[in-house]
Amino acid sequence: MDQKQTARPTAPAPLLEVVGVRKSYGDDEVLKGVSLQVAAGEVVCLLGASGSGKSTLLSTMNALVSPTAGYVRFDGEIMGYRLEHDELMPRKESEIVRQRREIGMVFQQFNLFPHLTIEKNLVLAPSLARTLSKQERHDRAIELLGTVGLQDKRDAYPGQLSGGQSQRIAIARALMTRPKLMLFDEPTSALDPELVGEVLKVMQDLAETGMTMVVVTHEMAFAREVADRVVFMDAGAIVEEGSPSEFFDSPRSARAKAFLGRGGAESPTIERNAS
Amino acid sequence: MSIATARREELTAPLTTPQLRTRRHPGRWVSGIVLVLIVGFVLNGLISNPRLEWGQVWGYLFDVHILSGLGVTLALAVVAEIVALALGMVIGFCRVSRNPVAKTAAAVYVWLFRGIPLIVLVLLVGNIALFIPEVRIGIPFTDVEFFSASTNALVSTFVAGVIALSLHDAAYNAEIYRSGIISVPDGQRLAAQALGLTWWQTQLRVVLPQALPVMIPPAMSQFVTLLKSTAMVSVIAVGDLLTEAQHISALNQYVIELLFVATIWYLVAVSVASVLSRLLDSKSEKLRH
Repeated sequence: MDQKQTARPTAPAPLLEVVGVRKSYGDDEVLKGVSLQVAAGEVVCLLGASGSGKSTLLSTMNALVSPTAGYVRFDGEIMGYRLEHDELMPRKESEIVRQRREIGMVFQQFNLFPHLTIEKNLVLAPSLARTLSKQERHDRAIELLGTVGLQDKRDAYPGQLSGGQSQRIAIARALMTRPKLMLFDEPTSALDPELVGEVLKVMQDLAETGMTMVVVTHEMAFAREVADRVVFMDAGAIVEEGSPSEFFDSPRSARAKAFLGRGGAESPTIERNAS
Repeated sequence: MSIATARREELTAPLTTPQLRTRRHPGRWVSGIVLVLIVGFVLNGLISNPRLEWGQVWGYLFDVHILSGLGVTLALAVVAEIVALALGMVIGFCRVSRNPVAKTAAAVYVWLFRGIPLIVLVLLVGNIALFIPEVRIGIPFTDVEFFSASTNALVSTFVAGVIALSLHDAAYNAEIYRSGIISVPDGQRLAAQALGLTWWQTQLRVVLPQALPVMIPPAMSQFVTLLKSTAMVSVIAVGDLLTEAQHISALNQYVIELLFVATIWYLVAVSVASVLSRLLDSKSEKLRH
């Protein structure tokens, strides 16, 4: 492709750019050449059945998974690699660590550190990175705990929290280093149904502050309401992407129609006009 | 409910209720009596045996040489434990590392030192001066030398004992570290990585604090084993409890009596270690919650 075409002067460079990313585990290719761009301030929801490669794609964005081919460019730098004479050389650990601090990540299982109090969970990464003074770390932790509505849990341990509270803390923890991008890997999938709402509310508030977000989710209502763009994956590739209303109201591909439950005969159908 | 209906229920309820009895355990009584008989028979044999002079046992229990031997045994165990914990941690982390060189080297170490019988290792280290008579520190393959000394001056029998016990015990401790490390869920490592922690920061601040409570029971049981294993160093005459007991019995021929003295002290030491380990474990149990 012509280099000049991709870098048009009118459109600002995307904050995140996934270019031809492939990932194989042995003979199993879970990502089959995925390309995706996310602009600053955009909220993108990754949808698809389990095993479609959404979570692996998400993990390549902060170099938790390194691609077998292709690359991820974030904020002008290639994640985990450095371009040297037309070759991508692995970066030093200290540089990868610096890159990861620019990106927050929230996991399905929360992954709070059970041996640390909530405040210590929040301040651990910035204290090791020495990016903030002790007072600044403390103030930021208090501020973020207020943002997620859990200021009173400062001295609690993760084991004392509900799933919804844990996930809100995990979001606050990921925000401590003031990331430019937030990644969410099925943040509500491990929650009891009545606790999903409080987490989605925090995420929606975050989206409204202008945070750039990539969200792997099965919460269709959230995707429809909050996402600027929906990306549908199947079998390690992007099948379809577009605005939520385009995707949910008039999916183009048969696989998206099947996923949304209104496709061919083999898919589960919702009897809307039965009564 | 009115008083009248309550009265009526009282009147209609059965006046005598069948009594509940607890289950009987005749088997326990029989086996208990048999056990008491056996133990009594053995104890009677020990006490009434004219060839066993109990006065000698009590007399030597607090003998100066025995107590100094006990001190050496405890010192051996504690120093070897400290070295083995440190060395075992390094080897344990190498075992789970992604570096193939470290992984293989650690696996070979564990294979080697779990394979060599401790008594053979003690003899090998104790006689190291036979094949390395002098220790030189300098630049290899040149004449530059910073330090040299005869091995015998450098490696006393106590040091040899510590080296052998530490090398042996480190292999076992490495496996305890490894199982502790792999008991920490992978999500913890992923979260630490995603937050921008380095590999070392992840291990020291996230993995190890969660692995240590899991490791305490097996590590303490390994320490009790080490405590008893110190008796092996008597083959190079370190001056430990067993060596001292044997030195005395070599002169006065009270072989069994002095072995009893050693046995009593080993049992005391092991019991104290077990109680300590239980205290430590209950404390770490509290820390986990």
